[in-house]
Amino acid sequence: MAPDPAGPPQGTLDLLILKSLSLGELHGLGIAKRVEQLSRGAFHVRPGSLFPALYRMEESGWLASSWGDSVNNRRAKFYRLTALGQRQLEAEREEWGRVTRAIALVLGTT
Amino acid sequence: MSALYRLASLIRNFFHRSQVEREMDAELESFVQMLADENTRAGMSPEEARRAARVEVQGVEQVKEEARAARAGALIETIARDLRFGLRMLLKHPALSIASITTFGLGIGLTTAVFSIVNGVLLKGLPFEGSERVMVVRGADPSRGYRRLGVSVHDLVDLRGQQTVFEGLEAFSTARVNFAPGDGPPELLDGAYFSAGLLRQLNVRPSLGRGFRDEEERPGAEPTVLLGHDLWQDRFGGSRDVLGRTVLVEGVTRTIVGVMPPGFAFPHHQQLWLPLRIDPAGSERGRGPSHVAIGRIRNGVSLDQARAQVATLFAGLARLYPESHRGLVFTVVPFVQHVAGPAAPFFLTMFAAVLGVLLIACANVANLLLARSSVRAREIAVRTALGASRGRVVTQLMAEAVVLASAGAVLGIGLAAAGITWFNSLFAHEPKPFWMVFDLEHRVLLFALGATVVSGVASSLVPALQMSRTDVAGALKDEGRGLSSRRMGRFSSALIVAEMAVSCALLVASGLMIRSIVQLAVAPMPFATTSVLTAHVRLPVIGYPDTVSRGAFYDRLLSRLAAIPGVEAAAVSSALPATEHDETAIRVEGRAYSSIDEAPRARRGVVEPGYFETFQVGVLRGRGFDGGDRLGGMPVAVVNESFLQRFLPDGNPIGRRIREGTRDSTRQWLTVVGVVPDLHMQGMGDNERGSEAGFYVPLAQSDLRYGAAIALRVRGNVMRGAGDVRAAVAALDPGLPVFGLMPMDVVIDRETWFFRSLGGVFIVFGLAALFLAAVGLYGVMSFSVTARTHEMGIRRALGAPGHGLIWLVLRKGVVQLAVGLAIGLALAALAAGPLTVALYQVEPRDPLVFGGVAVTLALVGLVASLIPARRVTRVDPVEALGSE
Repeated sequence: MAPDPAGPPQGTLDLLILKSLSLGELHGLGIAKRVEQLSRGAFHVRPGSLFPALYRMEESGWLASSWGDSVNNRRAKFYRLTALGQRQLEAEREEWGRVTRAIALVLGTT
Repeated sequence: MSALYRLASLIRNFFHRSQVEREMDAELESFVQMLADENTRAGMSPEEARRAARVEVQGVEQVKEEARAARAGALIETIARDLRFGLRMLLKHPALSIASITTFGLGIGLTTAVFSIVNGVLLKGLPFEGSERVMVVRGADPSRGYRRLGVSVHDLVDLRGQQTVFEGLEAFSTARVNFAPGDGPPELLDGAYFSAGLLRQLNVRPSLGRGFRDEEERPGAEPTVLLGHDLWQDRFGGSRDVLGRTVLVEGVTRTIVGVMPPGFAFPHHQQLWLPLRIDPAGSERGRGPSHVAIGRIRNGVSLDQARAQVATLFAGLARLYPESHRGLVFTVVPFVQHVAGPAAPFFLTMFAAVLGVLLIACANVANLLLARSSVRAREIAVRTALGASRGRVVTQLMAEAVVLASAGAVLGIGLAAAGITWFNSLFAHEPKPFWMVFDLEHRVLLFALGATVVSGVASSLVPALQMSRTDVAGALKDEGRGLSSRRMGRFSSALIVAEMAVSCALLVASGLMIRSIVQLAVAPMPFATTSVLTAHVRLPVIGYPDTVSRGAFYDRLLSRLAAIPGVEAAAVSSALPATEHDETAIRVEGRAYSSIDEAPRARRGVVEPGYFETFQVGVLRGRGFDGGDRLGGMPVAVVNESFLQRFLPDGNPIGRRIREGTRDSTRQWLTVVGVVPDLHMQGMGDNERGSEAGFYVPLAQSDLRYGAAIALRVRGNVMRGAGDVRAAVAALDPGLPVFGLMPMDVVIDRETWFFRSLGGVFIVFGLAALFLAAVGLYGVMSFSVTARTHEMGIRRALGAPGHGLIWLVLRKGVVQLAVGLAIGLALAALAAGPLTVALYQVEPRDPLVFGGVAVTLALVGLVASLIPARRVTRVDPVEALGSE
């Protein structure tokens, strides 16, 4: 039985959002869906966590937003990665790799 | 990089708040719509789809709140909101607010006033551009104890040629000079001699005419003079044709070449300036005049570099001229430090004392806030339950305190302004350096702002932290007892003890000052003061070039003075009693001194035989001076009691011989012929400064080169003889000013103004501390009674007697009082050292003062606690049991 989807672990939301947007422009709901999809249902991002993160990241210059039309002709705010965001994605990716390798080492030596 | 983006966003969020809000709303609505669409596509009915979408979003408001919090600038908005809420809260509890505001007002006001003084004395400096780089080169002779020596003209000329660290090396000396413009009476003015480039070093130009030229430093140059602005207005009506006119200064006709701008009175309160003669050829090395050397160091040169070069150059000079440089070391200090350095510790102590008052004020407000916390426990609990974080609650409470402090600061600035005005009025008679300005300038206001914020935060920090830990469930269920929580009670006690300790220390300082002032007022001077009129004259070198001419003048003056009707006795001397006499090294015949330089020091006065009689001082042993003590006769001296005790303790002093100077001195031996009581030859200064031992020599066997003091004992109204004194002097020399014409007791007042004025400042601190401490005790006790109403009600219902209850309530307060007093007295005993400079004949550890303060504080504390405590007996048991 697949485990119930939960929010992503503390501190990883930024990374997940950045990665989702690296494949193209998305609106808020689209990002949440993409994260759930890419994680094969493991992570479910609630709006209460998503939007504060999006605003914060946009204000830090990692994302840029613009209003546009969705596939179903609804008005929605679309987000895309900026060059700064691209660099942030790489940095966070590296950092995550470092952390997981370190944890693997620790667990492996028990 | 991200930080810059965030800053830009912060600004945008602040100015376009409503637009940002609308966009957020639109985005969330769009989210819900699209989710509902998906749900519909997945098979739900439209209403179900929509409902499910809303559930997913789970409270739009909450999402928006979270989003808002994440935005840049959220903090500022929160603070603004807290401040507004704080204001509303304060208006709800007016009594507490008023108490806190007045407390803060007193604390911040006094602190700001004292900071303004410290600012004027130590921080502001000269009001000219680049004046931070104006330095003084000064010498010291550590082995002989001289710490502020000038630079000789020979060294100055050599240095000017060799130095590279200063833009220019100049010099000045101050002097009181006779000024006679031709029309109007002659005056004695404060003047200074300036070298030619000095104004350039200060970066000041005359407002009219020119400064001095290089050639005016050389002997034989045309004599010139620079006028100060006020002098130009007073004596020349501010007329622009004053340039080229001549005036008589010190008996020399000088041409006016310029007028200085208003407000310029360098170095202290000088009124006119003359060119300084720099003539190394005119005297031998080591015997020529010395001046204050001053210059502006070059841009880019540090003080250390300048010091190093000066030290090196002087070392070179010392090698070339060892005899005139023996034992001397030279250094460079900033001008402000040179002038204000010695006074710095006293003013800093004063500042520390006033910070003590501020501390007490903060402690008081902290206690008041704690007291209020029980009332607000429920409010805090509700807010916490609704999701306010602990940080928010703490910030909210601190914001309220800052609002209180700010209101207090408004009061405080008013108080500070009044205090500064009063302080400035103290300088009416004793002018202060023109560059020491005490006002509410930007630095002082900035300080007041900082003090306000820090006071608000400091006084609310612990109460806020405590309150944020409220037992939420308990408070909501109405069970909590509020302030009876032990932690808060202990903190409150600690505050009270700290308040008492600091108050006690401040009161001790005040007490010492009061005692000092009382001593001054009450202790009789050992000489006549009320019926003696005094004045000063100075004989310029032109017209009175030698001892003979001066002696002749004073002889004639004395006979004219004695002839004035109503005069019982008259005298001329080098200085008046109770004013500072010069010190000189002395030797006693027959005593062995270990080294060539060992030099016991004593004060020296040159007096005319009628001196002791004029002041109605009885000779204790032997005789005073008389007509037989003439030039060419046996050189004699009269010593005072301190001298006797220190230098001639055994046997009969009459007939012993003393001499001025050190071992190789060639002065004549003086035979002691009499002993007189101490007449305060050391002046009215502090106890430590120099010796009280002194001796007198007769005027006929000596000289009064630097001016003389005249004293007349008159029958009847003292000032009636004033005109006659002027007439007597004018009859002998019309161009000679008479100054300082005043009765002897006014002279003593002037000599002691320092004690009385600065003592007054400390008295204000002490009273403020006492007042605040009393208010603090009253507040805490009052609150404690209210909090224990329930408990007291029960006790009364059970039949407890009134006074027993009072004691119960008082007990803790009494303990706090006692502990606080003990700590405070210990603190005061340790810290009383720096105050000695302002105390007149009072030991810093005076038991009378310490005891008096302990008793006063104990009494005030008891009364302040007793008044609210008595309310306990009026508690109605029925009402108390029902109250919560």
